[in-house]
Amino acid sequence: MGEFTAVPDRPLPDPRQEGPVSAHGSLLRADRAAWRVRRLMDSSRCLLTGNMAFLCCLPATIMSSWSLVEADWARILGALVLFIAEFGIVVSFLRMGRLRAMAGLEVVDRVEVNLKEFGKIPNRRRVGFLTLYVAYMILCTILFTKVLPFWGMIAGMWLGAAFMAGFFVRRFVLFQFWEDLLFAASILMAWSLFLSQLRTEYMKILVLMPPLEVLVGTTFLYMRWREWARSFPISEATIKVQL
Amino acid sequence: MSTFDSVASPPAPLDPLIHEASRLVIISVLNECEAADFNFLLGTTGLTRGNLSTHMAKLVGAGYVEETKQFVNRKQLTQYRLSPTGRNAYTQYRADWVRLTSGSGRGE
Repeated sequence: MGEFTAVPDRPLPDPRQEGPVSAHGSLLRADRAAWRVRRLMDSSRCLLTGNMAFLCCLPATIMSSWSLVEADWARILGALVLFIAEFGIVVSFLRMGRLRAMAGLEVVDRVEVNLKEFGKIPNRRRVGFLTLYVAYMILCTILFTKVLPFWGMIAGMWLGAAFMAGFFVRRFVLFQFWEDLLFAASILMAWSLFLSQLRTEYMKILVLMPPLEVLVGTTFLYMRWREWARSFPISEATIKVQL
Repeated sequence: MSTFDSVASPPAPLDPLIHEASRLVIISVLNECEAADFNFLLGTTGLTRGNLSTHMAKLVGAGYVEETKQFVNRKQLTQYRLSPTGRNAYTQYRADWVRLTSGSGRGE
């Protein structure tokens, strides 16, 4: 940490005169600091990330369970869990800022601010968005159940699973958290189990694996965040609850 | 192109306020978030309190960073935010940097 000794003013060398190497080192250091902040901010969104991964593999897990346990209670339970998970996205979004405040880190996330700005849209437009979303869902249902042939339906589901997994792989490339790869693998596993319609002895255990993997990934991501947050100097003014 | 041509049209110099190792780190960190308090900047930049205060005063004085002071639990909390001017200056600095190091800014 003692590498930044800037007392009082020590301008970087001009890249035109001294070559870009030494000044480039400082730029790289600044980029590294920015990258650390990006990772820190993203790890503080661990609950939201975990919930998103959970929601991505949950439909496949629920549908696989329905084919294994053919009972009404299983269907109701599945629908209930799916609803709670969707609700969990909203809750985890609201908890993001609180999580940082609990750690005593007074830093405002730009993603959060942008999302809140999006949430400030007028009610008329919000109803419009909701109507569009419902129409989209109905269209997808009709497309999948009435229009598309069986192979089209399967291909569509594979495409959806690949898209969701790709989202987490892209996150891995951006932030280099191995947990994102675990999330991507969980999603692929959940949908592969559902789409392959395997009927093995261990299917009941296998079906539960993806949500458990997501839980493990989220826990590790949270632990990573907690460890980083603890390494910061915390003022008495900001600390509310000690982690 | 002659030497005189390159002297006649010198490339724009890099912003001296940003072109300093510690301030470059501070601005890069602030560019990644909406706002941050003093302690967060301490943790992410690795500067000492004195150094950070000096650099923040310069950046605030130049209008690159906005400073907000408030009281939380009867203790003062200072938050910093990159102003639109600061954000533009940083973007310009990065662009100038790329231009200079890629050789296009050598009066060619």
